[in-house]
Amino acid sequence: MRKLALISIPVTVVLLGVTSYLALEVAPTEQTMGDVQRIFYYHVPSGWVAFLCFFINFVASVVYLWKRSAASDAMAAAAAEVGVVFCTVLLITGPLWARPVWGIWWTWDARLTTTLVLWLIYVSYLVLRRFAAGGQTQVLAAAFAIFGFVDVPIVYMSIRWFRTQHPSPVIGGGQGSGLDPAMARVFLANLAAFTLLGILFLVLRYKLQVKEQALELAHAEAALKGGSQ
Amino acid sequence: MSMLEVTRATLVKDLRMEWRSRDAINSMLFFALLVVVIFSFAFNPTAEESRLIAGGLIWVAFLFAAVVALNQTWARELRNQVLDAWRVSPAPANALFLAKTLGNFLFVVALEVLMTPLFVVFYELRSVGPVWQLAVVALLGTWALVVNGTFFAALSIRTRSREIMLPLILFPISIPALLGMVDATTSILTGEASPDFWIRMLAVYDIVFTAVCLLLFETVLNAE
Amino acid sequence: MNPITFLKAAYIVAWVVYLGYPGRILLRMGRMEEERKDLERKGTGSPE
Repeated sequence: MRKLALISIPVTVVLLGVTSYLALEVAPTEQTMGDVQRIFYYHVPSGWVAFLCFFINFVASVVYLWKRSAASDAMAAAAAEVGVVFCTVLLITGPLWARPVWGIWWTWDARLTTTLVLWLIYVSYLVLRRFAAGGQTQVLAAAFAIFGFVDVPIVYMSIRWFRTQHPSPVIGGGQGSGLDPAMARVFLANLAAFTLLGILFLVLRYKLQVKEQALELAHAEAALKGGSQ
Repeated sequence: MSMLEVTRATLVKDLRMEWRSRDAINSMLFFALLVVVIFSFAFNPTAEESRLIAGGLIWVAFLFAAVVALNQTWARELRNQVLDAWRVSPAPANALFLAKTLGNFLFVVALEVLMTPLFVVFYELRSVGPVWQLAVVALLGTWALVVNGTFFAALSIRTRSREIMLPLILFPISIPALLGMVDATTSILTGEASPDFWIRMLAVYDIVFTAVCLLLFETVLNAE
Repeated sequence: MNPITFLKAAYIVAWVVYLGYPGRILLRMGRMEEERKDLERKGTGSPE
């Protein structure tokens, strides 16, 4: 494990550095938006990693309810938190991109609104984990995670319909629409780097959760031993 | 006893107990009235404007009233260790859930029926679209709130700060349903669009989440 | 404001989060290790 960490961390950092350089310097400047468009190379991959994490949270929660293994619960907790982190970056870089290009910080367009709702759902998952009492936390959280993920397609569809009924300025344009091949290459490189970063975060957070579980167990044992004296 | 019988028996028991004390009903009625009045101070629209915003106002008011009702769903069970009795009894856990949900549903619908005339009066509401459609939207929407609300109320009783936890975990998940209710209501009131999509979406929401609740309730009931 | 300011701000925010988050995790891991060692010491040190 140590060896893997010693390799993967520098590799990820270097890869991120390289792809950032690509994004900031090498990629061609976008015609209409100018250099600000380069936020796109960070913005979209963050989103992709966030959604991937939420999916992992769903799978881990289902596995937990089925197998009741501490590992799956730890992964569920880790995935939700890492997902929220990437989603937060998404929600911050989005307006920072929108403001100079479209003149507004925010608009309730389909994509942004869906992202915000997703963020809200998983933040509430994290709050539930924090506030649940003791031994039931895992089951309650896992059940709630299923509700959250099942809601995702419904959220997407309903907001999309709402926006076709009440159109408003769309931010960001199509993601893959007419992407110049040079840009596409830089984009894919950043996507790969961010996925790697996401996996790294996930592993780290998972290990932290496992440690926390062990610590709780140790506390409980100590209390028992202390009580028997 | 079959599932249906257990559900019915539990529901009747709950309704009877509520009717006898009428504590919760009275306080909720008064709360609903207060909400309508306060909203009237906050938003004072003309008759045409009111049709545009009434959808949102009404459903926010109903949402608050529903949360007050939902928060006390399991209070009585907790006080008397009834949940432990359910865990060891052979009665299906889903019967308990359905009874509670139906009880809450009837309760919130009763609140809505009482609050609506107040809104009509205070906002001079007149619907352009057919009123029966409003009823359909209201029933589907209320079920959407109540089914998840009853389940999450069961989750939140095992947490600290349980009164704030319920709306905190219920609201984000309910956003598509709320959006549907509000937009459908506004579409019907203004007569400007068809609420068909929303009605179908609310129906899908109801079916999907009722199924999820029924699948998971026993697990949550037994979590200790 | 210059649009490039926004670009820089976005990248800074991203990097602050992406460096800060694992940093926080590692800090918490360190604290937990200490707590665990503390517990062990107390457990074996106390008279039985």
